[in-house]
Parts: sequence; structure tokens; C-alpha cells
Amino acid sequence: MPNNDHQDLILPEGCDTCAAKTGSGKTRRDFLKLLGQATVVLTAARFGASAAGATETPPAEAHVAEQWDLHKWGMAVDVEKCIGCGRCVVACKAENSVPKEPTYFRTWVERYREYEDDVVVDSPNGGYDGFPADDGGRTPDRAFFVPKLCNHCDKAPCVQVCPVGATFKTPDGAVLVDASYCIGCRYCIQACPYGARYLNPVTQTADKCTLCYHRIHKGLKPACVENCPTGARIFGDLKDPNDPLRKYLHDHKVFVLKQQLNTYPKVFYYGIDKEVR
Amino acid sequence: MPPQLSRLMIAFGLLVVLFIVVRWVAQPDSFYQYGHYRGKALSELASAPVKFIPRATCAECHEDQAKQNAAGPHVHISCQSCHGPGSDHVDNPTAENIILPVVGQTCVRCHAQNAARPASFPQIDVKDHAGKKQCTDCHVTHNPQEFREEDKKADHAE
Repeated sequence: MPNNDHQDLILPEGCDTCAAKTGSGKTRRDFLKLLGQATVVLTAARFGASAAGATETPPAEAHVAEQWDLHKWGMAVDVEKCIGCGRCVVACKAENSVPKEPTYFRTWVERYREYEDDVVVDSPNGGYDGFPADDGGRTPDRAFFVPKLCNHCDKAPCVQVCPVGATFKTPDGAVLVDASYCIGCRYCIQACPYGARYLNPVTQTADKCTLCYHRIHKGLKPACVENCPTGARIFGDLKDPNDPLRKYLHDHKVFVLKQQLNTYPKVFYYGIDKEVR
Repeated sequence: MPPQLSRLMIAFGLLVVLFIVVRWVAQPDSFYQYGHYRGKALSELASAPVKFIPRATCAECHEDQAKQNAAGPHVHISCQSCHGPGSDHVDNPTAENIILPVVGQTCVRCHAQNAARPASFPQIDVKDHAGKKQCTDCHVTHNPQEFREEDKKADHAE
């Protein structure tokens, strides 16, 4: 009896609407065969690739697991020392091959001018060419420069939204972009509350400040810190109790940007007003 | 078990196997080594070449300028802050691969009067201070608090 039931279920040949057939005229059996073949081919390709990789890459160049969690990098910005010369912007673009055109910045400088009844914020070409002195005949009550960069948030919104794991927080606290893995979907650019990201027009991948990761792992300071003439940027290791940055944060009343968003930035500002966003 | 059900289960099992194989092929070796990202990316990013070389390297060849600079108020400023990245210049020292700053533009970049600069920072009204003279007509280039001999007693502005 079950066999008879089964016979009833077989649909007639040439049926256009039956579920056993796909639109292209291929049977389900063909599709399943294709799946099986794909599995075999992919497995073979993987074995082939790993075999080729093993012969081509000498073991010395193979990836060695390093200790990446020895530090926790951070930066402080002393707004009362910044003179708005823009050398940090110039240095950053040179060090990291950031496109020279405006709108592409890993770090930039903003000028805040507070008048009696309004606040004017400007950043001509990100401060790359310096700032004109012109105040339009008005004298601001208070004026200051605010250098900005990626805040390397401890709870970074950009890391959370990346669909492929191309943006990540390193064990030592920097938020980086794996350009070879980024698909250029721009989701992280929208997610960043600080506007610190841009899409690199050359690579078509998301790009941002890396805290000069290639420099700090060679014992150097980031290019912007190295080239600041007044020492307005203080870079250091938040894990090291004897680090100058730790002492600076201890001695000064510092703020972070957009604290209400709970992103826990690792870039701290001293001397900013409530107008700074 | 009805055969249509067993066939469905075989197909499902095949799909699961294919998913695992695709994942195994597509996912880089070092993924999840430290977290939800490619672990190798860390060493790749950390090994990029450095363009702004350590400060002390410049003084190895340019002793006079370094000595001048060390005696003045600009001692804390990196040479490359004005002269640009020096990595190419160290490999092959020519005048083409280092920036020779335009004097008039370089000094005023920091020292021109600007309301947003800290009040304690030395600033000048360029026209009032220098007239038609260049900064280095009077000031020693790498130690601007020193003045050139011939200008020591001369009137500063025209």
C-alpha cells in the first residue's frame, strides 16, 4: 500500500507547473547533482590553495601570533595649546596617503568663534592651509581651535554595523579597517557619530585614522603628534601608570565628545566649551 | 519513513555540508583569531612603511641647523613639521625629495595674528611687523629669537 501511495505522488512528465521542475527546465535531481559537484570542487580548491600556499610561503613569513594586548592606546588634545596651524592635517595626509582633495581627512581642525549672540564654526579645507584671520570686523568673546580625529571608541558604532568584520577594535584599543576585507558598503561612515570616516576614492574602501598603527608599533608617535609644534596632542598608553598621558588625564579636567552616546571615546579634550560637538 | 521525507532530509543534509564547505573556503585562516575579524590584518596594518622618520635622524647630516634649532624656542618642533616627510630623503638625499619651505608663508602659518590662537602665543600683525621685509632678512632661520648681525641695530620695520 505505501508503494501505491508513493506511485500516486509522482507527477506526470512534461508538467509545467509541478514543484519538481524549475523554470529553466532543469530537474531537482540536476540541481542536487550540481550541489554535490560544487562541494567536491570547493573542497579540492581549498586543499589545492593550502598546498600551494604551504610551498610558496616560507614558514618565517607566516603569520606569527603577536601580543597585541600589551597597551591601550589613547590621546589627549589640549585645545588651549592648539594654534590652528594645520601641520597635523598636512602630516597625516602625507604619512597615510590620504587624498589631497578636500573632504578626505583622517584628522582635521575646526575653529569655534563664540560671539555675543551666535557661534561660528568653520574648517576651511580641514585646516590644511591654515586659517584666515578675518573675523568680519567682529571680535569674538572666545575663539579656539579643536583638532578632530577618530575617537577610537571602546564601544564603536562603526564596528557594530560592519556586515563583514572589516572594521574592528584591536586588543590594544585602536579601531581599524581591514581594507582587503572591506566591501565599501559605507554603512560605517553613516554610523560614525563623529564624521571621522570617509570612502577612499582610490581603493573604494572605508578609511579613517588608525592612530598611525604602523608608527606606534615601531615605538614612534602618530604623525600628527610628532609634527604638532606646540604639543597640543598627547599620545600614550592608558595601561601604563607612568605614561605622560595618564598623568595629563589625572591633572586636567578632560571631556569626551558626545558623551551621551555612550561610545566611550579614547580621545580626550581639555579646554573645550559646550558648543563643541 | 516516507521516501519523500527521506529525500528532503538528504537534500537538507547536502545543503548543510555545502554551507560548511563554502564557509571553510571563503573564511580566511586568521578570522576569529582575536575576534570577529581577520587576525592577520593587525600585522599587515602595523607593518606599513613609515614616512616621517625619527627626529634625531635629520641631525646626523644637518648638524649646523640642528645646533641652531636646539638653541632656540623651536627646539621642540620636528624638522619634518616644516620640511615634510623625510623617509625618501634619507634613502636618497637630494633637494627634490624634501620640502624647502617658502619663508614668508611658513612663519605666518603659526605666527600671524588670529583671534582663535591662545593669547600667550607670540603673534604678529604681519604688515605692521615686517613691512616688505622677509622674516629671514632679520631672524635666523632655525633660531628666530636670534637676529642676523647686520640687522641687530637696524630698525626692524621699513
